[in-house]
Amino acid sequence: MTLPEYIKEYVAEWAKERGLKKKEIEEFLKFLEEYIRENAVDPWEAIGIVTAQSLGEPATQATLRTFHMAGSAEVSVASGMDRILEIVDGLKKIQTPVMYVYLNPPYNKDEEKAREFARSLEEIIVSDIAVVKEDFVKKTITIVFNKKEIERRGVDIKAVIKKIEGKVKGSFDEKKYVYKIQLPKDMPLMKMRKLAQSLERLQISGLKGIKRALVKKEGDEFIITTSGTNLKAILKKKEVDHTRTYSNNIHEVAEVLGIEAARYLIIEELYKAYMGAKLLVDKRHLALVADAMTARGVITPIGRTGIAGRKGSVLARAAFEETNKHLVEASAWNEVDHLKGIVENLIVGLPIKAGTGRVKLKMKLR
Amino acid sequence: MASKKRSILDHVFVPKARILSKEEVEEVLRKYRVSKENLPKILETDPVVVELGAKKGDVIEFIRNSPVAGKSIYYRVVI
Repeated sequence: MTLPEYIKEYVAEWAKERGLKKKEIEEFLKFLEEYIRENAVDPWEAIGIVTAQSLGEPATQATLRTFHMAGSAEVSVASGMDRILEIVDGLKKIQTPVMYVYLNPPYNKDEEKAREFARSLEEIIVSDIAVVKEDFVKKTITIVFNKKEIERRGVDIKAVIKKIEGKVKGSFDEKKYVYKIQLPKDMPLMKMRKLAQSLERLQISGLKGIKRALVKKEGDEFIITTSGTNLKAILKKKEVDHTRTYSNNIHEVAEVLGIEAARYLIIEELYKAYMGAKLLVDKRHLALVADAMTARGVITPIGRTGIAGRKGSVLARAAFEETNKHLVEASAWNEVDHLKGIVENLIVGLPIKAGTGRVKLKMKLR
Repeated sequence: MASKKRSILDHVFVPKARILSKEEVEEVLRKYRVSKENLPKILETDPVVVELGAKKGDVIEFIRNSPVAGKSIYYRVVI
């Protein structure tokens, strides 16, 4: 067993402070090595069970206490049990998708500039600043702009008109802020409806999917938190620090940054969720969960649709959930259980192949 | 900074990655007594794999920064 690099470095520094001799340092390192070896997990220890219990027990406590956390300021992120379940079940649609956008200088030190950039991120569509009305008899579509909204959001009306004109031609009344489109009389109603709807959704500025962007101070720099995510697009912006910006959607991160990044995010987000509920959990347990969830190269949820439902053994699957389904299917397809895992051996009453059940004694003959 | 080409490999979430040579792969498999199929997997379409230019069957070594062990090495086979 060799010591981790960072412990060696730490000890070296610590010894320097105290002026220890070389021999003493070596002795201490030896002691440390022995200590770590003694505390290491035993060979064949069933760490999966230990992890399951270590994560499950505090989760039960949190459920008993209360399912939700009361009152919190700023962008409220799903927390507590809700969030833990979201991650562990590998949900694609999460309750509160959030991005943490770090900025490059000078944006990260200047609040005004950061704010301006944040505003430019917010997605604005036509229906945010106007009402689209259809007249099916006269075959006209009128877009009535809301002057107040336009001023509040700082939208350039000329650019908006240009965007609309790229789609359909019409006339703009600058006094009334109304855009009128006369359609041909023989246009089918369905087509007209679709056109109106596409006009409503027409994007004017910002990034797709980002609903709000707020500037927040973190340490000595300003960062932007957004509700709604679009990691791929934001990493391309030159104002954004592409080495630190991330979203809390595991699937999105897996897609944009890869499965290893997703694994890291699972650990961090689970840790945050547990710590948020004031539950202490060792990161090694979370790392095991994350490794299991990402071992296939894609995010695999824990539970009957994921890891537990894809076990090789019929009995192990039947013991977990949907017993009838698995037994019926196994008999129909002539499945064989090789009794290699823990659960199946427990069921048939054999010693399990873990812990002391895994090792065999060899006599030393003299 | 802005003049440099942006790569996802620079992201703090992405551990240092490299493709192992054939000899190194064999050594790893021998060391852990496993076959390639037993290694954790990574998709061929994964952004990191694309960036590295790895092909199906390659083994990629990740050097993670671990909070408990300092550094830990992990292997994934491209599928």
